[in-house]
Amino acid sequence: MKTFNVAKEFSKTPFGRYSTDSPYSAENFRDSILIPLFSENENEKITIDFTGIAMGLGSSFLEEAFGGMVRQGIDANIIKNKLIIKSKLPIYESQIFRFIDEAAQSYRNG
Amino acid sequence: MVTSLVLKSPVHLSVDLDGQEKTNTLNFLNTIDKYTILEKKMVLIDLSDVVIATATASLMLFAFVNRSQILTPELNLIRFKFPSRKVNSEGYRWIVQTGLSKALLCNTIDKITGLTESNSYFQSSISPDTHSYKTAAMLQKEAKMTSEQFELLSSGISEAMLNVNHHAYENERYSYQTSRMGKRWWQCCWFDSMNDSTVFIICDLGEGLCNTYIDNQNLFSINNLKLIDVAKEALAEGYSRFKNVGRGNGSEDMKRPIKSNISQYESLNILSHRIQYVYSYQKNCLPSETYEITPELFPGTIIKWVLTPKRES
Repeated sequence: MKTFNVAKEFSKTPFGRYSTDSPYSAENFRDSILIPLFSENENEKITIDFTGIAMGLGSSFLEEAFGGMVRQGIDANIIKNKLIIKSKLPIYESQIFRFIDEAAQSYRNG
Repeated sequence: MVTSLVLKSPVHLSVDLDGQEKTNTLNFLNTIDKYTILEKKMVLIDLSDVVIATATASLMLFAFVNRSQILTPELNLIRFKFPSRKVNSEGYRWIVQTGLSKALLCNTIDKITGLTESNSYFQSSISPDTHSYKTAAMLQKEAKMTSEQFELLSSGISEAMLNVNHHAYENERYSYQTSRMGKRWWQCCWFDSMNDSTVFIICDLGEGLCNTYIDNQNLFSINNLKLIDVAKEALAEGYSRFKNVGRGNGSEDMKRPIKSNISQYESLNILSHRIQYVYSYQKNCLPSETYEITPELFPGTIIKWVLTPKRES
């Protein structure tokens, strides 16, 4: 099992959708952290731990980071089977899994 | 001596309810635009007889005046007559003691930045990444929420700011404006200790919510029912499409405290173009939401979010 602590290893203040929004945007998180983690650890569960972040995670961050992985070509089922979300707020997990499903749906519909 | 055109404010500055007060307030704001931006005339805005100025209307006045000040090179384009404490104590309370008068006098970017540094209720910015945390932290100082409540407050605030940045000024007709003032929003927020509530109001003067959602369509050609359908779609929970991914999630973030069971009262009021959307929740009741067509056209979008957190007894 791989665990990635966002506050300690990425930023305490992840923010925004696009890389133009902030150095710690969802695009940067997805491209520099999530996609390598999911590509390099084929048979392992991956825990993304949001404990310790200083600000709430907006929907646009969660959508672009996790839904964006699907749009970048990573299979939604593979993501869902491997991904474990750890945070004080359960709503992050439910939103992330919904965004993955919605991105998969959009991807299938072209 | 240069004489200024006197623009007398309505006695009641309010845009919260339909009626003559709202019409008068919007007309007054449009008059400021007409004389300052279009005709480049020096004006004296007379607020001395104002009896009531709601927070929403005050914020709109700040936005209209500040945009004129930034877009016009003349530093003394707009002067003011404020209510005096002796003659009009009520007006003094609304205009001066709230910090509105100080905000109205901020006719340079440096002075606007100073409003944030002094923790003024009225602020303006173009930088969601830094400003959202400052705003949430300012509210948290008095609200003293739990860390979960603070996370949800801060994410709602940051998404509202990001929405301005991503969507409000995307039409080409705003290119001159954004080249001078950036993708700017104006905000007013405070902690209401009487009601144990945080109040956050944000306003932009760009495209309305529906305009940004359906590109290149003339909303005046759409009938009222269709316009409400467009607004419902734009604000629908979880509605997203690749072309416009996550649009609507800004309001969703403001409803998260209810879903996370951390609020005992919450209301969200959005006024945009001719749409008014009201969402409210009270502990132990189901949330309710309404969409209405308003008689007046609102330039841009204004969002008022009131959140009363659950407290440990």
